[in-house]
Amino acid sequence: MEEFLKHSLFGLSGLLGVVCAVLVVTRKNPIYSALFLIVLLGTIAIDFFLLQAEFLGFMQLLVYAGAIMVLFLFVIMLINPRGDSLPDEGGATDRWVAFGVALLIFSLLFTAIAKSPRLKEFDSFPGMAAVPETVMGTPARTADHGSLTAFGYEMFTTHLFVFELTSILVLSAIVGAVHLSLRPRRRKREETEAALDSSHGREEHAHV
Amino acid sequence: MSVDLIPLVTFGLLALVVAVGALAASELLGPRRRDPEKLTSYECGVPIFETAREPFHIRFYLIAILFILFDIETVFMVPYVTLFRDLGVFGLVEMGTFVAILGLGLLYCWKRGALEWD
Repeated sequence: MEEFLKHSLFGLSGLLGVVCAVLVVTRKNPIYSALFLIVLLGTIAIDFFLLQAEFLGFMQLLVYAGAIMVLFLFVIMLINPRGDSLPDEGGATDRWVAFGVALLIFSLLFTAIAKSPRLKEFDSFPGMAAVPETVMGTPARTADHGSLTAFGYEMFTTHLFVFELTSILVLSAIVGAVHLSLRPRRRKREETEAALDSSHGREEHAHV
Repeated sequence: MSVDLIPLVTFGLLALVVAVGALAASELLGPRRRDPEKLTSYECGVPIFETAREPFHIRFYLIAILFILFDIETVFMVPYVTLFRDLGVFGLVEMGTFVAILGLGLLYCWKRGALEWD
C-alpha cells in the first residue's frame, strides 16, 4: 500500500510537472508562464519529499516557489507586458534551435545521471544510503532530524569548500544588485548636493 | 525520517473533496442571477480607477533581491543548527567565515545606502 501510494504520487506529480513545464514555454502571457512555473516547482518539491529529502523539499517551496518566483513576477511587472506590446514569437528556425538546445541539455543530464555511480545507492525509494551511520560519534540518521542532519553533515565536511564559495557567490550577487540599481540615483544625489552646496556658498557669500 | 504517507494522502484527498464539493454544491444548488454589473472586478464597491498593472519602482526590486540573498544565508544556517554540537569549533569557524563574508555584503549595502528608502 505504502509503496503503491509512493509510486502513484510520484507518477501524478511527474505528470503534472511535465504538463506545467510544457505550459510554461507555450503560454504567450508571461504571467501565466510564471504561475505554471510555481506549480512545476511544487511538483519538484513533492519529488524531494518522496526521496525523504524533507529539508530540500521545504527549501524548494520557500526559496524557489516563494521568494524567487516573487522576483520573476517583479521583473514581469517592471517590464509590464500587455497583449499588444509583446514581441513577436521567433520563427520556425528559432524553435528548432531552441528544441536542439533543450535536447542537448536533456541528453547531457540523462547521461550524467545514468552513468553516475551513486545511482546504485538509490535502487529503491529510501535514499541517503551513502550517509554514514554516525557523525563524529553521534548517529547521523536520527529519527528527529532525518535527512537534514545528513545533508548538513555532507555540506559541512565533504563539500566544505563549495559551501564557503557559495558565500562569495551570494556576496557578488549582493554587490552586483546594489551597484546596478543604485548607481544612477547616487550620481543624481551628488549632483543635487553639489548644487545645494554651491547655492549655500553663494548665500553665505552674499551675507558676508 | 520516514513519512507516513497514508494519513497524508487521506488528508489530501479529504481536502480535495471538501474544496471541490463546496464549490460544486454552491454552483449546482445556489441561485444564479448573473448580470454584467456583478461580473465586474470588485474593488471596495467603487468603480475601478485605473488598471492594476502599473509598473512600480525598481527600489522594491532591490529590497526583494536583498531579502532573497540574506534568506539564502539563513537557509544555510538551518542544517548547521542541527549539527553545531557535533562539528564543534571546526563548524563554528566554518560558519563564522560564511557569515563574515556575507557580513561584508551587508556592510557594502549599508555604506552604499541601499538600506535607506530615499
